[in-house]
Amino acid sequence: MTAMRRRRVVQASLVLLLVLFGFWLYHIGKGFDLLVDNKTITIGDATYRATATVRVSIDGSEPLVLTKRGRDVISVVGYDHVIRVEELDMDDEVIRTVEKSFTLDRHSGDLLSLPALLGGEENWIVLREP
Amino acid sequence: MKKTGLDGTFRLDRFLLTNLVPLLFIGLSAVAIPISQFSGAYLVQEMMIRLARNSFLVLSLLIPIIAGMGLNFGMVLGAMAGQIGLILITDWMILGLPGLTLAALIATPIAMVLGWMCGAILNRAKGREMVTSYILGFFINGLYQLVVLYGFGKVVPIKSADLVLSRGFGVRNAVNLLGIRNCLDNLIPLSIQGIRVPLGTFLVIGLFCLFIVWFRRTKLGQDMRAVGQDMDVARSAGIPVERTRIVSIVISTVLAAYGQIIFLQNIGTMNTYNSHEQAGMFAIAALLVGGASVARATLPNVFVGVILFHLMFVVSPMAGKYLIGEAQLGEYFRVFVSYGIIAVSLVLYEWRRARDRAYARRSLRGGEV
Amino acid sequence: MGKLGSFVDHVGWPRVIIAVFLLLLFVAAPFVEVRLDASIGDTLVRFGMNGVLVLAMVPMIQSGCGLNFGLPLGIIAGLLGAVTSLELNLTGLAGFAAALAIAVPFGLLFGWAYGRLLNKVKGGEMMIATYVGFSSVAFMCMMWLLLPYRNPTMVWGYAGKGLRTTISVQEYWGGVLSDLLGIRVTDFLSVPTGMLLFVGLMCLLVWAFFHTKTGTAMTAVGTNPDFARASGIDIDRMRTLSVMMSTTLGAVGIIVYQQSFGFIQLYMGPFFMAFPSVAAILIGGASVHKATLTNVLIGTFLFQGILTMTPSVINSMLQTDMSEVIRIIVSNGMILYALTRVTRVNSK
Repeated sequence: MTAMRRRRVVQASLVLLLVLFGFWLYHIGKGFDLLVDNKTITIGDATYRATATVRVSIDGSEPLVLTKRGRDVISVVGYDHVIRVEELDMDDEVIRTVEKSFTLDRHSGDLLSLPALLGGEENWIVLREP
Repeated sequence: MKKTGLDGTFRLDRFLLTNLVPLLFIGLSAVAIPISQFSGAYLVQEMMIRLARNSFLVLSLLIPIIAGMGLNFGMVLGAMAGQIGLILITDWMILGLPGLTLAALIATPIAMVLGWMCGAILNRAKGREMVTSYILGFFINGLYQLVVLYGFGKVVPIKSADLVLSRGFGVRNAVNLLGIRNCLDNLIPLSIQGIRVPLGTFLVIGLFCLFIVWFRRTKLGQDMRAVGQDMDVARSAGIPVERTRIVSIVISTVLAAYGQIIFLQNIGTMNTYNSHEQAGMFAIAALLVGGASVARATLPNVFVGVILFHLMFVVSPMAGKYLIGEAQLGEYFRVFVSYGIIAVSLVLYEWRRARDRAYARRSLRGGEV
Repeated sequence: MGKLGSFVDHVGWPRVIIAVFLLLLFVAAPFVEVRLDASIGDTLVRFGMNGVLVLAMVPMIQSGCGLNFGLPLGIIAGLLGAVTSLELNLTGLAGFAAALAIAVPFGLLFGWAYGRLLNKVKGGEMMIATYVGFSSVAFMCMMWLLLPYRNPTMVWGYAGKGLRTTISVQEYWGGVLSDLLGIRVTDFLSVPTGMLLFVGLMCLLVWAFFHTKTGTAMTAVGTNPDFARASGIDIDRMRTLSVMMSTTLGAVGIIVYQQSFGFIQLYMGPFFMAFPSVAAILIGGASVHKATLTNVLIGTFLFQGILTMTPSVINSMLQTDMSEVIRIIVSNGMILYALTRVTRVNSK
């Protein structure tokens, strides 16, 4: 009887372990398609103007160059990321570099507003209206 | 019928009969390859890809054969379970190897339930397992369509607009698996003289071969062999026959689910309503081409079969085109070959069985010839 | 309750469920604005179209060869007859008769070879029949491309050779049987008398055959092979004969089907055609070992009734087309039920 019960316990914990493993896989494998956006944007009362061409990369990916009003997609895997934005002048020289780490979750938006980020706005990750 | 002893001619007969199918295929390929004008490097690369793509599915057929249940046409059940896993992870956007593993994890319980059901039904249809599992495949296909075409998006939430039909529920005909495409194949990049070797997949297949070798030696594996040889003897030896048979089908179904996932990660797109049907037929045909029979199949059968069968598959449309000027003819030819090969193997197997039975009956009656 | 229970037991649960389901569909039809007379008309037409194909199951079941999953072989014989008749430019009843006359020898020939094959594999007939059917269809796919038919309505226009996938018989002998003695009851309901009579005639022939000496011998082979052997019946000959009959009936059946349908479907067309017929006869109450003409008639009516009614009624009720899925589940579920039941009786 006890042997049977021990077996049950082992089986149950094995199943539990597999379920947890599944959640972990979900966590590390979850992909997001992030829109990086270099357009003028209004968040709350503040308006952030897109002023310059920027070079952007997330987690050290191949840098993307976005001119004013440019927008592109970067695909990432996982929840925690570091974005690196470089503001460029007319001669493609870097004026300013901003690096910021951020965490996504199920409810956060997928639009990363670069002017807002450069302007120091806290909610620079925007949920798009469907 | 003339009674033949164990003299030389009889054995040659026997050899030709058991290896008829692979020999036939080697002959056909020898003729068709030069006609098709494919280069050697191209064919080697193509075979490499197809070995990685199909071996696992074919391997999943081995265990029910040990248990004497014939070719498990019910493996399509596993394939369907695998596809449900893939649809879900595609909707959730889980990418890469974690996505693949999660799909397998989701498919496992579904495949276990389906496999258990299949095994239980086959226990009620002893002696006609193959035709029953074959029809069962169709039946479950109906349920699968019910779930995927009507349930997904209504009962099971599906968010991605790329997956759902425009009417708001039901999964589209083609599902793009870009997120997990080749993630296992390219896990360990390796190239030998310009030929890409999908080492990751081969490692998984190798592990699985070891599993089968090990499994045959376990108590359960031995029990299965006993059940496969004679159910009544096995039962009197205290082996739970019904349970053993169910377990063999459950294992096969779960493995078929993994096989289908590996297959589709290589292909990169999934035909929601067709991929699984083809999986069953091609896997079975490949195994038989490799020289396996309904009652006996080995690991070499699997790999020889996959290579020979798919060689024919790649080569025949082009051979048909150059030979008769009609690629369509080659297409039909390979369909004919896939079905024909299954038919021939089944006939040879049943023929041999009927002959043995007739022989046993005669000797029972007392040496009347 | 006891009486009802034993009745249900006798007829079998699946059959009762299907019959009740069909009845409900007919009752529900007027409420969802589906015309009852049109439904009945469609059901009658489809009954006539499929009757002979279902009948083709009977001889093989009776002689113990199991369900004839190899029906496509007979269908191919019928297709050969049909296209040859078109090639000869024969129209009307003459064309139809010519199609039959050409198809029957092919059916007998294929049936003979197929029967010989099945005699070598006793006990494993059904699986082999399935794959013989499949591979013959695939083989004929190549043949349709290569055979020297030249009638311009049948071959691909640009190449001038290779038969089309669907060929219209409307100009030749489409509807000759259905419209023969046709009775128009309402605008939507006309009875295809000629076709129904033809099905009746075929049933009568099969019925008569099974009351001859050979016919009873065939049944004996199916029900008790040992007894049959002991009483000096040549089992293999009887089985071959039954397979020849089944295959020929399949050939005749597909021609009847085509003249009503209006098209010949070549290539992969016959591929899955065995399954509806198998399902129909099983729904009618046949088992893997025993089938009667009543099974054929009831089964064809029930199965075709469901196929006709589900698309119209269910679709207007749920606004989605579930008929295909229902067809798959019902027909294969029925076959599965029959396969698992038989052995339970046998293994005792």
